[in-house]
Amino acid sequence: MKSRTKFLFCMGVFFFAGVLSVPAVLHAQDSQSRKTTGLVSNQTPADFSGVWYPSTGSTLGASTPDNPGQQFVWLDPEGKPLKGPLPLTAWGQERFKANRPTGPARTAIDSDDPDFQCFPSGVPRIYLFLYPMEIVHTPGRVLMLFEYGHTIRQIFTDGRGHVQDAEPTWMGDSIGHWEGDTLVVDTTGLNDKTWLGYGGQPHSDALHVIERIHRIDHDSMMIDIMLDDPKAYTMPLHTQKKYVLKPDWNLMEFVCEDNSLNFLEFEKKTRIQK
Amino acid sequence: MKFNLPVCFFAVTALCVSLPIFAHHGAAEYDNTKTISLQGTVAALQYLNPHALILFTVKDDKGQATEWTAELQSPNLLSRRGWSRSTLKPGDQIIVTGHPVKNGAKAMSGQKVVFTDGRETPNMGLPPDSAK
Repeated sequence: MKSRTKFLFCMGVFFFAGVLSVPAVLHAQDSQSRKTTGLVSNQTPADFSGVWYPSTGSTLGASTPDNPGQQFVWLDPEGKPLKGPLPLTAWGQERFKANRPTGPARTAIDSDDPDFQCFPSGVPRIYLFLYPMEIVHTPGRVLMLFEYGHTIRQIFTDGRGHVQDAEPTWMGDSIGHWEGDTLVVDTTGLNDKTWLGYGGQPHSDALHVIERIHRIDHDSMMIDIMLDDPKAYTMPLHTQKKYVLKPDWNLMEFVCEDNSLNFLEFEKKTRIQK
Repeated sequence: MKFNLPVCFFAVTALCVSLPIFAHHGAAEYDNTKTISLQGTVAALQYLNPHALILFTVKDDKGQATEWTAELQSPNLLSRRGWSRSTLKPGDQIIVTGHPVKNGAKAMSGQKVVFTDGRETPNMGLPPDSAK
């Protein structure tokens, strides 16, 4: 076969191979698009899209001597508020005592609260900050965009499992699935650097968080939070956090590091510990 | 109307039992059992995160000037209640009401700010329906 004939023959083979492969490509695209379009916002069992503000009502706990600082309202297995100290393990007690939260004798500048160092707040503490959070549905993911610290959470709802053997992170690895109109979010892979509340309540990197997110009515949403951290707590902890829809709000910029010199001077001037 | 320094020092009732205005944290520790109201001249409104600051000058009866600082909520929360960076301008005559810091410094929380001519500034609290 002459070289030109060879060339034309090869081109013909490539052409037919290309034509034959088109349906396969189309089929692949079709299955991909069917996979994704089945997960768009308006086809999920519920749509939490919008800007939400955390309620300061009954799901925001007050400081007590045993359990200081603004925090969650921890519930016992019967759903009643837990009284007394949190059920810490010996490891948890040690961490709790070592942490230096703000309090009557210590201001932010002398605290080792990771929040005051502008680190991400972690799960579930991010829900304690009285700033709005926007939920965005995208194919295969639900995104939580927190105004406070501009923290994001990606909740994968495409059926994948947890990342295996991953380095722990501040906000963890979250996967979700639907149970009726409730979004169930399973989070692992959290580091042990964040706290559960303003009072220095610790957790370990064994923390496993399961959240059940559902709408109470059009304007309100409840996030039911179950924590299992056998390294830090002798029993699972349960709490709830309510959010109120803010249809007219947009998220605003909040940069934790955006601190003026005057603010630093103010912190120094007003400190209690020397 | 001339105010002494401090104009009033009284036990807190409503302000104390309401939700703390610094619901996440303030930079300082405030004595929530005391409320003071100070009249002064605005030097600057620092409208920056994490918390806005009012820098203002207070003169006593003898004309002695003292620099005070009042810590407010974050600009984000203030803006949603109608504040802006120009709500207070240098030279404005204001009366700031709030809790003094515990360590005795010339610093306080700003819970309410009014102008001496009677005009009021927007409420600085959390969104009104947030306790639902």
